[in-house]
Amino acid sequence: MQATFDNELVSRAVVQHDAAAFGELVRRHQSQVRNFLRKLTRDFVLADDLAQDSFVHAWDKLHTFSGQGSFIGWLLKVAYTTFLQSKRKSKRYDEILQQVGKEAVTSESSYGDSSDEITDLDKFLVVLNEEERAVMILSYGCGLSHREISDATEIALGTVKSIIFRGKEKIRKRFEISDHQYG
Amino acid sequence: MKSVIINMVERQKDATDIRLEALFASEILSDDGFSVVIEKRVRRSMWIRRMALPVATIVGGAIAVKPLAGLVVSALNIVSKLPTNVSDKMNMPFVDSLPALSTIMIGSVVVAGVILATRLLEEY
Repeated sequence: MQATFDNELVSRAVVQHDAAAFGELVRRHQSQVRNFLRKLTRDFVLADDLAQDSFVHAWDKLHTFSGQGSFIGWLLKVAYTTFLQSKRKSKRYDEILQQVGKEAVTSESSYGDSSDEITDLDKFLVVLNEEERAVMILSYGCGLSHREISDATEIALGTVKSIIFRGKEKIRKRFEISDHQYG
Repeated sequence: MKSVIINMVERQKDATDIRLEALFASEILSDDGFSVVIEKRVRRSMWIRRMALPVATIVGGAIAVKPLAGLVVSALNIVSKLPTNVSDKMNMPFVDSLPALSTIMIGSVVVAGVILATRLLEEY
């Protein structure tokens, strides 16, 4: 139902150059896109700037959306591409990540304290490399299927699966999560 | 009708998956004017695109009008200085029927105006 309505809005935006229809698409998906970029950059201001640029790029490329996959999957692909392009241009992202890494390493709070989930997430993300981070966020944060992640990141499906497996293993080893904890 | 293949392997979750999902979960962010900013940027980019060609045509025309006028005047001078019998011999009856410079200018402005108006009408 949601996908059908998304496709209708996309059609209106493309065929009639309807900015209001696109505005509705933005309203429906801004939270997911901003959350994805916030987790990826660990900087809310930078993430929101990137989200704005992503949506403007999405408007420019909207005619390329075929309607085959989900619109949010396509939108997150545009957001990820925007993020990578911005990263190439600016060192700001690396500075932020280094800072977050230092803070996460120096913070010795024990894992599993549910009151400090953000710090836990920071620690998790620092363990992962950039590619793993993006794939893990798309999988666990955005709920995309492996196929959708493969489309969004342009990484082969098999590689996506192995990245998720590897990422999980890294986190499991580093933070000693045992299966019986939640089993 | 689109068929959806559900990968059950992806759906089987272990403790790490559940823990990660809880950690990566995020609250829904309120719009707080975010979509309004995007809409404004989109409308601005549409407006800029719509105006780009007409503005470029006007600016280009304004820059080109003087040298073009000079070229037309020179061409007319050259043609008018040709001896009448030469033009007769060369069979150039069009020389006498060439429009005046002012007519050419007015015609150009009208054509440019029509093109502009057509383009704007197409956009709306």
